[in-house]
Amino acid sequence: MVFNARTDLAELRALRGGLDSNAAPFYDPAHVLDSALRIVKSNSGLIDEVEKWALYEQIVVAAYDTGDVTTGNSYLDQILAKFPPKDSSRSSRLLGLQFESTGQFDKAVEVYEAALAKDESNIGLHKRIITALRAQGRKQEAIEGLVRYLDVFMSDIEGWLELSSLYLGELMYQQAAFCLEEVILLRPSNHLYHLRYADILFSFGQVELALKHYCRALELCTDNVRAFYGIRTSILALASKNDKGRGTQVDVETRDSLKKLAEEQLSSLYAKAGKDAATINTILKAWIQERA
Amino acid sequence: MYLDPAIRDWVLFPIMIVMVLVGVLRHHATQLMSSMPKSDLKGVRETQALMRGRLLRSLGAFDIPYPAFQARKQYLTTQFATTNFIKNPNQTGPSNPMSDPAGMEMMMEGMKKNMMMLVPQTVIMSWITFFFSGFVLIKLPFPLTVRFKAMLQRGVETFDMDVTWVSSLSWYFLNLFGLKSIYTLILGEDNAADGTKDMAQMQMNPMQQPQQDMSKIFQSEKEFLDLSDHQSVLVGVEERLLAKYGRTIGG
Repeated sequence: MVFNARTDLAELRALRGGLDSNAAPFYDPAHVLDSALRIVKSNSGLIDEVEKWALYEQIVVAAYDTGDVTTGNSYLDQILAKFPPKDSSRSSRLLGLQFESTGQFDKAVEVYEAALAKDESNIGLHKRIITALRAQGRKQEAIEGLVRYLDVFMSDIEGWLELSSLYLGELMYQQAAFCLEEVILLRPSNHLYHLRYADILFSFGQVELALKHYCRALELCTDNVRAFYGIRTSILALASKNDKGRGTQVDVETRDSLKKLAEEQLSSLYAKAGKDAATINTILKAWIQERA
Repeated sequence: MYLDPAIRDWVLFPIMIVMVLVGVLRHHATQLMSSMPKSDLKGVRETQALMRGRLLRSLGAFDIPYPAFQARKQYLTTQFATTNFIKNPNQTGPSNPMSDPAGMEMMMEGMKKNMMMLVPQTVIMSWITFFFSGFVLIKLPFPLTVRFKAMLQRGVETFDMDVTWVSSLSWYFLNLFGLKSIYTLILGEDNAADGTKDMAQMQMNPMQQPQQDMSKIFQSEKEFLDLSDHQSVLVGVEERLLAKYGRTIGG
């Protein structure tokens, strides 16, 4: 892969803008570590002193994410030397990360809470405490902590998504659905959240509502294969529950048209696929005919 | 009229260089002095609760199912009627900056900024009037009316010299308003060296109303919420979807 310093630097800058923003690329820790290390070591004039420290921070986090503790520790020592943790909540967060990477969660939480005492509305520190709890497997406490956090920071999408995944781990579907509703309120035009919400609804039995949300996801994102699968599966589930279709929100005619649409679109989309098209298409045809 | 080139070398350039340097100094001093804005949890919670109420009234709320919307509407309207989200539940009326620590911080910041701007300006002005008065410095390229003579030719009271010849104090004012682009070149965007922004802020500050009364705001938010309705986007989504693919129901 060709190493292009400028595009990599642009990617790293976009990542610093936060993973929820629209321009953020997919976060691949190994790639981030690699490109950031190369930029930092190349000593070119692309970065100035201020950006260098931001890149160091990204290197430390990516190194701990990929398990490369030695690199992380060496760069962290440089950061801590320049920005001692007692003055900076950002370095406290990285110091706590170091403790977490070696499994010393109690010490990490101590560091975070000490830093929080000085700057109580720092979102990163709150989140690190909750992830430390989750990493130790203390799920109930993590849920409680996260609920308290979200009581204050109600518009934090990452937080709501994390809480919904925690609830799903405990099979608390209704609560997970509530979290996804908050996320949809905050980002109504994002089809992925509708898809996830529909999946959760289907899982605890609200198949009709799930169907509607699959349709909405498709409306927002044409030819979304997962949504087509969702539509067909929910229609079949509805059919097996209630044959006449009376008393439901979606009548039989609509359901049939939707099912036909889903099947035909799926077949045509997969037919356009490249190499393994033959195997996949046979499997798809068999699946469609099986429960027709 | 012919001016001594020594004037240009020893007055024009030094004044400009001094102003640029003082501006850079001011920028760095402001950066050193400005403290991080301290926000507390209760304040954040207050603003976020209001935002959540507004979100529920917005178009985005049509994407969640009706029972979910109803549940949230009920919860928020009952909560906004109480003092649950309000940061200082005991205060009545608009908050007094003297008592509210956050307001006090804001006032201190404003005062610090004003000092930063005022002191260099007065110092440089007095320096110029002390050392560089009594002669004209530059010729303005545009004509002016005779009324400006008194202001722009302060040290040189002649009767029939052109108004376009002006003294060094007017060169100072020209620089004050004109060096903004040079500061942007040297210090990057959003620098604190420019005097005009501070002057505009000074004029805005006396007109700023005191901290709003939070309970009234929550009250009005609650009323808006009570009036809000919900037209679920999920109604008719199947027809719209089929139409998108060029089909109809039954087709």
